Amino acid sequence: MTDSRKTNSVIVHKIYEIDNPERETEVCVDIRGIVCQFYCHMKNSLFILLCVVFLLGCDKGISPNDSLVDRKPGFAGSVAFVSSWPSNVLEMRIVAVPYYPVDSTVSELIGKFLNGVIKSSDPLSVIGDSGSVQQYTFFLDPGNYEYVAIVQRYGQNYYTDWRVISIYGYTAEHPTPKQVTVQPFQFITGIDFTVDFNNLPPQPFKP
Amino acid sequence: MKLPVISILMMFFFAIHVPAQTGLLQGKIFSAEENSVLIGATVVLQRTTLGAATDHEGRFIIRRIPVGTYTVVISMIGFHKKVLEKVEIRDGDTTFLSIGLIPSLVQAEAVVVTASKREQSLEEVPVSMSIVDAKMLEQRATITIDHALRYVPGVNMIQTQINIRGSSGYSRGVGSRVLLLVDGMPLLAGDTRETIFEAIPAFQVERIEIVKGAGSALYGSSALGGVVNVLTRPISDRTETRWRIYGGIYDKPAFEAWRWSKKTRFMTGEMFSHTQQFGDLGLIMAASHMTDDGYRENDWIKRMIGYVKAKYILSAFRTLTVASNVMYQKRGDFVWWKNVKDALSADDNQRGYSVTSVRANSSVFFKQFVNNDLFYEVRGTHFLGDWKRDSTFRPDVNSSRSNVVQLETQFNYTASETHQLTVGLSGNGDQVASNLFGRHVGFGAAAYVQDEIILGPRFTTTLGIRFDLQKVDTLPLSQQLNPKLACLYRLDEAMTLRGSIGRGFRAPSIGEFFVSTSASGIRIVPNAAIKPEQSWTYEIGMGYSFGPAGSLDIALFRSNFHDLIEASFDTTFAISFQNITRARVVGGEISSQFFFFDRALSLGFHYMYLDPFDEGEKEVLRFRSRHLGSVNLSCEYSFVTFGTDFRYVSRIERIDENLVRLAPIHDGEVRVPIYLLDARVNVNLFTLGIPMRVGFNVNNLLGYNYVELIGNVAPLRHFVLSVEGLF
Repeated sequence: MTDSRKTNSVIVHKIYEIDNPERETEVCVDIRGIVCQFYCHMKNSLFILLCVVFLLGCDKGISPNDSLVDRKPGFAGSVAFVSSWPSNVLEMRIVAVPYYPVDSTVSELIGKFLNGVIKSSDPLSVIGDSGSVQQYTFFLDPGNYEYVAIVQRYGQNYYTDWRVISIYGYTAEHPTPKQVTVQPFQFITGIDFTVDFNNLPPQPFKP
Repeated sequence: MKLPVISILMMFFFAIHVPAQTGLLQGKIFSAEENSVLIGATVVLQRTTLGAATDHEGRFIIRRIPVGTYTVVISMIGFHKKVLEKVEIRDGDTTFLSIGLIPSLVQAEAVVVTASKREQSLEEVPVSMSIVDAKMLEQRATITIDHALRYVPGVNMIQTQINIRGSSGYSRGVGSRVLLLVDGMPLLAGDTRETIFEAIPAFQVERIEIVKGAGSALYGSSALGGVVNVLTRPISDRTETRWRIYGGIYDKPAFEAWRWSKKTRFMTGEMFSHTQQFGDLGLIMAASHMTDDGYRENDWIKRMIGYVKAKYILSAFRTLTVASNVMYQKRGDFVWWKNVKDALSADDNQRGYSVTSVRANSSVFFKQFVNNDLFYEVRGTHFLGDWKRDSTFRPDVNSSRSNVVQLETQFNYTASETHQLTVGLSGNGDQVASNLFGRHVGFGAAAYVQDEIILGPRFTTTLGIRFDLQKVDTLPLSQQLNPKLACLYRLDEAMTLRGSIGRGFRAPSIGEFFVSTSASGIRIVPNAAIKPEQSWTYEIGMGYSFGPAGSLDIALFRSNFHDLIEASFDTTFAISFQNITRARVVGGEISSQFFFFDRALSLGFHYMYLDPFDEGEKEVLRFRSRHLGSVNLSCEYSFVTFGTDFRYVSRIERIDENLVRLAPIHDGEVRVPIYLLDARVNVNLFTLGIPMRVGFNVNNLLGYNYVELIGNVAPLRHFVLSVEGLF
């Protein structure tokens, strides 16, 4: 209902009732049914929700015990250099490859490294000479690594100037690499290498 | 050049000085059902710039209305809009209205402006959209608006980086795939195109509108995954001063090993705003100051914001609005943890760094109603970003200064009863000077047109297209054409069906083109060859109203992304930004809100499922969660409101392994699902006649420890007491 009164200077409108009371009643009946149904569902849902919240209150999420720093899988050992060093030892790293990388180019292998397929250790020291021995530690993901080797960068081009200077398990008598298997939370020691710059192992790379 | 300036001055002169016969409209708005006054109802004289909102007594007043006959529109969320035609305004007279609004069966009668760049009812919007209103911001003690966005269905935040429906992962703050607007104008940093939420004065925000899905057909670059439009408070026609103070403390860390400081960690803030009318000039002045000790080492913040907004009513059909906002901030820079055993301590290499920044944003808006069918708005904005990161321990300083200028003219024309046209032209200029990005300039220009066509009493369709040109320095010109098509079908009063297809793009930022630095021994090099990212978004949805009992919204969506830009190694063993990824994100979203006991109790459920797939790498996309859910409960009894928000985000399946490996971030792999419960009590003393509100919030009530971003524990449980008042 609309009430409109006009005085000398004021127009007053009052609109305080709906246009069609019957229609409103019909809708209300329908809605009450829906509300009741939902109310029952909601009551149950609310109870379940409170239980879930209570249970979640016991879970604190991340904790210091989740640290992987002390439980990181990996291996360690020594690197013995048995000949004099060339002048171009710019960088040396231990790499672990899950497969034998035969017929791969250096670029392809670096691509695999950047994608995380090939793992690399922190750099070894590039100060040393014949007779020096370095200890190393290499943290990496658990898995089977068929080819574990030491690589040397001999030039300024990060993308091409690499060569293999030692392969784990490779000797003149046993000229195949030895697999290293790292289990979850397992840290292996005794993965030792010998490097002879005068007698390098076969290079797996295509030219 | 002189002629237009003189014309504009003359136009203002005449607008100010031409004597006019005017009258006054005042009145009271109340709920027709409960007979209680309605606070915040909007009263607008259609086709004019004149309007007002009701005060805490439900009263409004509109002055200096030119004599004539007007259509008055009264609206408020939750009530049927009331349209009064032929309301007469006489010279020197007062016209009084006392209007009772009827509660709406369809709850979603909110008026929004972002979906079509014009005012329309939310139920007319043919795309998925959410709203965060001022009440929600107040009740959740919002300090920066990114906190409020965490509660929005379909939105996931990774620290301050926003992700709508899986569009974004984490890109180290560079290149937002969601466009942030303030009052309709973009607010992205000129150098990195990142969102700077802290630069927005949260105390002055009226509401936030979030449009989900590609929006480049209207908004251009960066609207790849959606648009967030922050709308500031209109200037009230009454003199009032609002203030809010808050203080809070962080709970002690749950583990002894994490207790890096013996001191209690506090947060405090003060903010005020004053509104006054000087004739036809309305003014808001506001300032705020906040400090946060931080719950982590080197994570402190000190921030000040000054804000001014002035609106001059040039005539009943013309307004000029000017706004300016300046933020000064100094904060510690916690980049990532030492390791999870020492998770609240900064990594040794990041100790002692701090970031000082100034962000200043100024805008001008001129709006004119030409006639009953046409109005236009000319708007311009300037955004200055200036930051410096330095260290007390190392001679390591990075800094950047950027300026962004944007201009836009928009025409809205009602061509006929069935065609509503929106046409616009825009241009922008960027300038950057930085030791990271170099010195560069960029330009852009765009034109857009949209037609909303009423094809029948139940069916409307929207067609739009926008053409963008972008040029940075001497790089080749980049051009983009972004169309959209959206349809809305109203099955009956309660149910609507909608569908939309739209294209989005994001032009690379100057930072992505030209960054040159090194980190952790790895070189980061420029790449001038990157192209804009693109997306296509498809959506079908349904909205259903249960009348006073609540509402339900369901949407199914798919987004295809092309040429996504990510930082990656190039052939020289260096990192650069490259177009490397194609991806698709398929998902569904269900959102519902139910009301009980005369709306005294409300309960909302939201759930979103995502299948984010990297088609290049054939793996799940990085930094996306598959499941997002939330439940919110609000209970109002007399002047006390109690509320809780529970949020669940499933564990991020895949992170940036290279970042963890090469940074290195120790224990960077550690992450868990997110279960977050916030609770609040608000005492509204306004209803007792005391103009104050007291709020107590407990965030992260369960004391649950989680990471949004790798190597960063999210805020611990903290308690905030806030008091807000008005005089």
